[in-house]
Amino acid sequence: MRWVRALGLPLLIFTAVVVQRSGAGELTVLGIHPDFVMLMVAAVGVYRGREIGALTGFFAGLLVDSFLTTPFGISALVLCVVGYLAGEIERMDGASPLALKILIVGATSVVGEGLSSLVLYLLGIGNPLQARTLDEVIIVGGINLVLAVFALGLCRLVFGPVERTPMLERR
Amino acid sequence: MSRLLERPRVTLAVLILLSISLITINFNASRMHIGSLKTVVADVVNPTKSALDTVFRPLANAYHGVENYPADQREIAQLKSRIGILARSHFEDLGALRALTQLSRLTDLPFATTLASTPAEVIEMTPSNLQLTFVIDRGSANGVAVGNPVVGDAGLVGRVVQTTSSTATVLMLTDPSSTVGVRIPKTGQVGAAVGQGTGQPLTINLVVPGTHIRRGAVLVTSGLQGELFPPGIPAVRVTQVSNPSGDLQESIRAVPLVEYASLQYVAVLKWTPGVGS
Repeated sequence: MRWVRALGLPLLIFTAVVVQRSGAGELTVLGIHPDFVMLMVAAVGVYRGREIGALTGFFAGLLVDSFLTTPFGISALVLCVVGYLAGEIERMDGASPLALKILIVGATSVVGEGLSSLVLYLLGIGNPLQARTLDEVIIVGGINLVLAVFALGLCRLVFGPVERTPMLERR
Repeated sequence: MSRLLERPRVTLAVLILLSISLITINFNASRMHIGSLKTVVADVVNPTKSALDTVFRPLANAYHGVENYPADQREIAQLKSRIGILARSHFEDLGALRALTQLSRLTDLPFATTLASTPAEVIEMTPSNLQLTFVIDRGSANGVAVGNPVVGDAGLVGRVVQTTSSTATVLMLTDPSSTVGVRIPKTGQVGAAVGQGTGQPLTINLVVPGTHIRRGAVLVTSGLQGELFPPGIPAVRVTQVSNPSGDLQESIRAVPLVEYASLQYVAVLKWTPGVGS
């Protein structure tokens, strides 16, 4: 199982990107697509901490950017922030409850969607005041909140039951 | 200070800088390298994507079916309504085309080239068992007078028996009170076509036995009979000929050349019985 653990993270992200690009990514809720990559990055951040979360988000973002016509690097920027924020949970002492992890995945997805709109606006590509920004933020956040338990379960399956040392103790 | 520069924060800062650099490069430099990078990634991902598509596509389709059911129902209703409108429009176009054909034929009647005429539209088929008539939308104000022959594109229809200022009533050839003097063009023999009522063929009277006439022959108005009709207008088509032994005349049945049920436009000929044009 060591190879699974070694390759687990890239496999998880690759799978999330492929699922997003496949028929599952074409599903819509009120016309808005889910964001499986953001979900998985947030889950990894929650599970493995800020640094791994940010790195995972960055490389997952590069993969996502490969399929988009938006400027290369936007998804990388957004997802590395999402992964980092989700990893903030490591600041908590001891094991955190599952409900909190799920909430963090949903909340960071909301922040990620908002940040995407902001970056696009700053680059002159989109206008968050005219687009369905609020709908996107709420719906993607809601979907990811619901799916967080599955994403966290996948992380547990791949990484195993990681007993993360509280950050203060590590230092 | 040390907390500010802790490793995860530094990593995040580096990644953000990298991302911003990539965005900047994308905006300012040639996109050649980024384009080829995108191609390589797509080449790696696409085969897996295709495999996953076969798994997810039916699920996605089923989900779309459920999600879009109300909208689909509305769209189906709209499409049905649209089909109805188009079908109605199609039939209206066909009707207009038929009317146009009838009207254009009425402007160039080969059998009434020397007579002035007034085109008219049939506006009512008189719903009566007593008299087979119909009403047209031209009356005395348009110069239509009692006795004027009325023709369709195929031939004689009847004659005007009543007028108002804006309408006129036309007696059909099939009415039992209608009699039209006819002539067999080939032989010059004359006879009288007498109406027999709704759905019944006209009877051709006064044709002497032994007259050469065959089924399908078209009889034209004779111009006799007190010049009720101008001569030479196709009036009826022979449908049955027999000569029972001992009879003093041929037994001939004929039908009008016009189809009353589909008659829409007619022409009223400026012809006064006994006077002419």
